[in-house]
Amino acid sequence: MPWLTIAIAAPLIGSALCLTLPGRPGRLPFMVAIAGSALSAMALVITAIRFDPSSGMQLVETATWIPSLDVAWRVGVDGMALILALLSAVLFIAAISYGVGPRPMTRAAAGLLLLLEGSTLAFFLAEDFFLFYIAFDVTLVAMYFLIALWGEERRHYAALKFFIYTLVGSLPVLLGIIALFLASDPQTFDMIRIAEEQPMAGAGVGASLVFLAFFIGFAIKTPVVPFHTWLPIAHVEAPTAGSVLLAGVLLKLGTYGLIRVNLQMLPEAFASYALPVALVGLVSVIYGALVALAQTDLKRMIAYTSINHMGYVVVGVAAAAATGISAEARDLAIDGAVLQMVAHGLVTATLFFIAGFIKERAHTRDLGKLGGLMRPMPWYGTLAALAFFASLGLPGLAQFPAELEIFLGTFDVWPGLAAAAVLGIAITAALFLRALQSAFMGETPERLMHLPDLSRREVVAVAPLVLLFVAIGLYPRLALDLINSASWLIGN
Amino acid sequence: MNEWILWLAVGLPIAAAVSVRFAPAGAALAPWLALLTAFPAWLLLLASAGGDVAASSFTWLPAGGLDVGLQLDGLAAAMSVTVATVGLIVVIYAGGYFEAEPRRRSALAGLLAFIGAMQGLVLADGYLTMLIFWELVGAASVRLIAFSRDDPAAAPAAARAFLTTRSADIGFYLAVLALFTASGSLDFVAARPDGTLGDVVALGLIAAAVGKSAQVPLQTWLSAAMAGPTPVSALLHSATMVAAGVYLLIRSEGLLAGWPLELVGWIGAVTAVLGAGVALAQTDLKRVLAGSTTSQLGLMFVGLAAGGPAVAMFQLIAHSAGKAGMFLAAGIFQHNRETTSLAGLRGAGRKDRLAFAGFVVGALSIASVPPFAAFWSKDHIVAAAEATNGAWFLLVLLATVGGAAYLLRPALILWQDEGSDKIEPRGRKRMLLGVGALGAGSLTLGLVAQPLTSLLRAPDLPVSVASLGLSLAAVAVGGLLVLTSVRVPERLMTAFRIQFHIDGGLRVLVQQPILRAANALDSFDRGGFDATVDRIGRGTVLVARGQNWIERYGFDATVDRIGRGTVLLARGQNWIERYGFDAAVDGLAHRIGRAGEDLRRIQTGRLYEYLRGAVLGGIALVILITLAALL
Repeated sequence: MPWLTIAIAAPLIGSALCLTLPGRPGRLPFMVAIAGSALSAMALVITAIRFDPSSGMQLVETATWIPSLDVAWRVGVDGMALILALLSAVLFIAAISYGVGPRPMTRAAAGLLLLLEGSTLAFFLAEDFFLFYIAFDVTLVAMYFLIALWGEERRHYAALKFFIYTLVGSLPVLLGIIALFLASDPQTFDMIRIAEEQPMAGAGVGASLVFLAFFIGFAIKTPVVPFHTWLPIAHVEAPTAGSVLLAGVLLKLGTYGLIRVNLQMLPEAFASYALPVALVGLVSVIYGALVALAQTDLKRMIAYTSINHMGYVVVGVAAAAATGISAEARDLAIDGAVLQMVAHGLVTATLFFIAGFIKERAHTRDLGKLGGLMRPMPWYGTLAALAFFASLGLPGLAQFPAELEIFLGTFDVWPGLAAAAVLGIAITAALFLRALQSAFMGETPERLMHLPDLSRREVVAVAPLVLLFVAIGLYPRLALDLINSASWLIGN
Repeated sequence: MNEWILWLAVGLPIAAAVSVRFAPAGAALAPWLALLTAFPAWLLLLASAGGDVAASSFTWLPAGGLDVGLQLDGLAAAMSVTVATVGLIVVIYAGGYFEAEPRRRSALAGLLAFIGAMQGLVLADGYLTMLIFWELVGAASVRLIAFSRDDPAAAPAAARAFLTTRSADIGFYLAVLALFTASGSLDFVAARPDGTLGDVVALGLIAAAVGKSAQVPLQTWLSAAMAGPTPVSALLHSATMVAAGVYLLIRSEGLLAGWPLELVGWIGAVTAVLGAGVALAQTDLKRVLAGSTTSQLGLMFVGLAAGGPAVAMFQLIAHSAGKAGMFLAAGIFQHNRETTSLAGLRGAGRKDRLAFAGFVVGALSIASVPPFAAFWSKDHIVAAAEATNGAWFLLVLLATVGGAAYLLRPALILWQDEGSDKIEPRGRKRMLLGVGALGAGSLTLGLVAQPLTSLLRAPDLPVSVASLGLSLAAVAVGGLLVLTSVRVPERLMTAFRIQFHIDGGLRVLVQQPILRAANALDSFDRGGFDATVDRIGRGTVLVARGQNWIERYGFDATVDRIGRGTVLLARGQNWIERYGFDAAVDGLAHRIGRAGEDLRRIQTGRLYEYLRGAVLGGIALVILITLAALL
């Protein structure tokens, strides 16, 4: 069975099905959405069982598409693609179970969520640039509507900004893809072949330009400073489930591309730009943490910590690309970078749920207006404390092993840069403790005294994420044995 | 077998914490569960005394070949038993202390969870495992310090404790990175790697220990942490968690040989004296004890630097019994008087003599009065310092003077014949049981020197008659200073009470610049970056509008004009065609046709007509030739 194709097709077919549903409110769109995402998740779990972590790209499914350009339906998995696809499947189920917009979910919301899921999975599983690029852009369209239709007050501005900014980012990616296509011989969009044959090897300036084109596109998507300004506003205005998916899944498109294309297909060019890229990552780490420290809106604060956490990923990837890094340190850096994507996906998604839960009750996310929430909402407070500590990298929770691996790998080539990156953990500790102290501890204002604690629906949405980030934190090999970057990173 | 016991030592307290938190009878169950969780540690001590070693680990980060695991050796066994025993006593006591507290299950569970994390730190088989539990211990302490929801100081104190120690933990991270890069492993090593990396390892570990053990200049978080419940102060902030810094340095002793140990000794000696001064200047009993803890931990640093692991460890064990005992007694006074300020506690000891007895035993021990436990352990530190470094020796003696003084002062205040209070009966028996158990420890633990040295396979502890005499004299001087009420300049006392503006200094030098930078970057982010992006966006829209205008009024109009022009042109051509070409051709024929007539007219003699005919004929000819050439 073409399980990967099923994993992509199930949500897309569900999405198409939503178009044909009757317009009157009912539970049907929700059922379709859950069924589509569950079927997709099942196909991915089966793939994970069939997957052999010790060999690289595998389980490739192909079908002819446009033979004259050697465009084909090519999907496959290696450790990174599989773990990110699994992460997406989990987050989409959580987001769909929580819902977007009016309840019960409308067919438009269900259709858009499924479209987003299908295109995201297609992106992670694509091994053909044609599909890769289409998926990259379709995710934008779906997310645009999720924000523009069900976001908060300034949703139109935020959605448009998100859409245009990232669309502009996808143009250099398109140019890069065309350049790689033209350089390959015989010309192909086959990503596996391009990664193997390295058509740009020794191409000098040309390779650098292609590298930069891809890097800018992915840097906007990740986002790294200074291309990050679409992120806070998009997060603040997006509906809760939209923020969850944006941070949990869509930001990974950027760093996934950075590894899949820049590192795997243009390693020579990357090696010569490794230090500048690492510095960009370091700036994101420190800048994101400091600006997050200055925020009073919980959601905006979380958005900036995303910039900090994704900065670590960029640092790790750049270290792995640097010349002179030991094989062990490179495996640590890439394992850590991929694990950080997973950990950040789980933890930050939980954080955005937390921000959404309180907004729904207290109608504010302003840390100055919240206080003493532990008293009326002990379970909610415990959940928030756990997620805050996870996000500041407490051992036993998923981000600690990821960040430690990135630090260990980076220290091998750039000890000073790694040491500077470690400073980020003290700033994130400060900002989360500050938020914990002002919103959850101390006196409870009267108007917050009778807020209800977590509802069943909310628990259902976050429980899988919490379980996963605790489990991975205690035993990171749950993810690392699957990721096993040593088996697919070319150049070993 | 021992491998299983190792994991049980860590796992049982955590399982007990979960049971206490969620079982309806959790509070009643807690002491029994605590007793159960203490067993593995005692079994490990027995095994270690019998010469056993054990280790158990599993791969945690495969790419680096890094394991997480636990191990048993003499040092781990000694520390593990200390944690388990003090932990057990404090949990029993806390059952009484929290009897009236509606959230007591949460508090007891927090203490048990802390014990589990602390056992992990103690039994860690390398720096990775130790870092993991080191941070978990810090997180567990946040929950415990912030336990009180009525005290507005509790939450900020918890945040401060965590942030100070975590900032210092950057040192631990860097040490781990440097050690791994230098040696490819994170096992405990016997020697420091060469070069800068080795220096980073040593400095990083020392920084982490300074933070956790509240040494100068990072000691102020400990005073603030006294906002936590008293059993928490007894367990975390005197006996165990703050001792983790000392334990880390003892573990790393081989790696610290040379200048790092020298640095450790200096930090400890200076902190011992300053901490004593801080303790003397306090107006709150718990803060007196916190200052004392800082000072005593400093002595352990000196003990390690000058005398080696066994000297420091002996002091650690003796101190844990004495100081925790005093805290537990202070908790009883606190219940009787609902305050811990010295002014409010005036006479509280005379009214509650059993608790006061426990307090005094602990105080005598910590003040190094023979024959109590810490007298013996302190004596070895004094002797070792005398043999190693004259300055340390003087500072240690000064700290001893201070120790006698800062403990006699509150004891005298507690004993004054003043105040009227009833003894709070709730939970009293269990609280007294805890005080009594630790008092017994202070009386007898002086005897552990011999077994401890053999357990640690350490050489005999240093002794010297001269240092013994001087040490006793120092105690006497300290006592006399208080009894004669020597006037201390107010400014000096203030300086000690506010701890030399260290808090303010940290606020001005670290906290405020970071916050200012954060705010500046934030406004830059909104005003600079984001506005730039928006400007680019608006610029693009403007350009688009401009293009639109050009399109409409420029291009389009031009096109229209071109179109109209073309039409005009076409019409023109049509006209030319009709009235030009055709006319020309017709005209030519016509003219040729009429030539005869014209020729006849020539005959008319009208000369100007001849001329006109010639010109027109010529023009027509030129046009015809030109057209023929163009076509």
